[in-house]
Amino acid sequence: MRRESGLKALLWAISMGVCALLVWIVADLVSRGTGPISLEFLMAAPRDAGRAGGIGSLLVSTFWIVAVATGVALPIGFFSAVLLAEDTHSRMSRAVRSCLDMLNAVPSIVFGLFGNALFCVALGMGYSILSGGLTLSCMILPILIRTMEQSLRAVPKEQRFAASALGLSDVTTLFRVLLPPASSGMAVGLILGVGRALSETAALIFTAGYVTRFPDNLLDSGRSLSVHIFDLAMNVPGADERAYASALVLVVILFVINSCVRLAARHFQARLAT
Amino acid sequence: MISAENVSVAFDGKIVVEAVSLELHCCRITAIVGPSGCGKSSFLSALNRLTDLMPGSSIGGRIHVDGVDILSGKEPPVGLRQRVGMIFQRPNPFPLSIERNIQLALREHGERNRAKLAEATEKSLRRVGLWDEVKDRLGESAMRLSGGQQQRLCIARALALEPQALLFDEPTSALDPLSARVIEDLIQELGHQLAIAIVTHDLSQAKRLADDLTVICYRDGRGVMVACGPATDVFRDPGDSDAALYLGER
Repeated sequence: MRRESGLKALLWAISMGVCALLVWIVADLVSRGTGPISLEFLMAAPRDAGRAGGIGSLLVSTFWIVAVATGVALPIGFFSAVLLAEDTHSRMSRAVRSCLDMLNAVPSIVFGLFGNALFCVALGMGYSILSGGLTLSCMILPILIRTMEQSLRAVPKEQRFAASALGLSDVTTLFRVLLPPASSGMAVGLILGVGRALSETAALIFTAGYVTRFPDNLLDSGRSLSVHIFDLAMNVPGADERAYASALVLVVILFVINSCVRLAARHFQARLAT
Repeated sequence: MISAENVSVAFDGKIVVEAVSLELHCCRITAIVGPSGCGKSSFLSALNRLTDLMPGSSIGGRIHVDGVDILSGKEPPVGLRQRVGMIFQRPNPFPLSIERNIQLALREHGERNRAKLAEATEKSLRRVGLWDEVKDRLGESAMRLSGGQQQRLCIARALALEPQALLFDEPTSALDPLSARVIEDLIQELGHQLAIAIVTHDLSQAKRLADDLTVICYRDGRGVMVACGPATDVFRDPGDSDAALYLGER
């Protein structure tokens, strides 16, 4: 009994420790980074290497980089996950799964070098938002596919049997029977993927570039918020406060995206279930 | 009418059940009994080709549904499964509304008229005695129903397609005694309208329900049909020592 309560207390302590760490980081960001935050900070482009001005252009670049990455990776990831969830036993699917797991462990700097060689040089896209977005899409694909596949496979196989016993087509079974219970797990995959894309630095330095102005189109170079934070913290003396402010904005964006995707998944689940 | 001749089912080349021959006729209930793992459920799944979904499965012998050889590949399984429905051990309603659970397959098979869909919904829910319990909450999630209600909904869902035969795979084993009794009464009632096959471990249930009885037992590591015939006759004189042992022991 005493051992059980001791174990319980330990688990609580560890859980509280994790929460405390998050609170500490956010509190640190708030205390050091709220100073520069204003409407102008959120709208204007950086000046004097980031010591003045704002992060407006970086927000625009970040938005487009993440949009390209998600827009490309989401459909490919979804259909790959469906295929892998259906074909659980073949040698081919096992090989694909192993490759995905290995890709998931590849350091982002390697993706950066690959993206630079393929998108920037070989395909002639140069340092651009498109190159950055496509590189990130390659990077987040493994995590998207594996989490979505796991969510689909977590749906009891009896549901699949029941659908087939009624003569439902594979498409109806997928969209009407399997997706509603799997959607919340798939949303988690999307959050993880978008989160990784938003916070990525190394891969973007080699592909999306450093330019801080507002991008005109997807072939323009654009600096993402995470690259900006890295640059301010490492290369620009006297810009610490703005680095903290940018980091605070990034965390808030992550929090908002997390909440929005969860709400959307719940709404989608309810709509499919009626 | 469904006729199975010398049917065997194998997974990855290993035969799990063989030499099963039986006929399912309209308005008769055939119970299939035998020890756990002897291949009763695999045989039942072969009758509407649900075994196709199981990796590595293969069916031997001949199965005719209304004279058509369903193993020849001439008839797509979708049409076959409309005519030969299946109810599983655990209730498995879809995560949709009660109404949508009934109408999903109907829509899939081409029915778009709302009035006809509503009529079919009411009719099938009435057939399973669920209409009065759910008529005011058809839009609610089917997952909120009790286990027994969910199983009746699954039966209603299959009945909405107007099948000729229903295959029940231990349909009451996951239910409480009261719900099991309701399902059993329902199967008995449906037995006057359709051809029914039921796999069960409950010999008293088989005695109460079955017109015909098939006994499958282990021999040489695989299930083999050891007795078959009118239920009262087989229970009285199985004509096989393994069948007698199984029916007597229980």
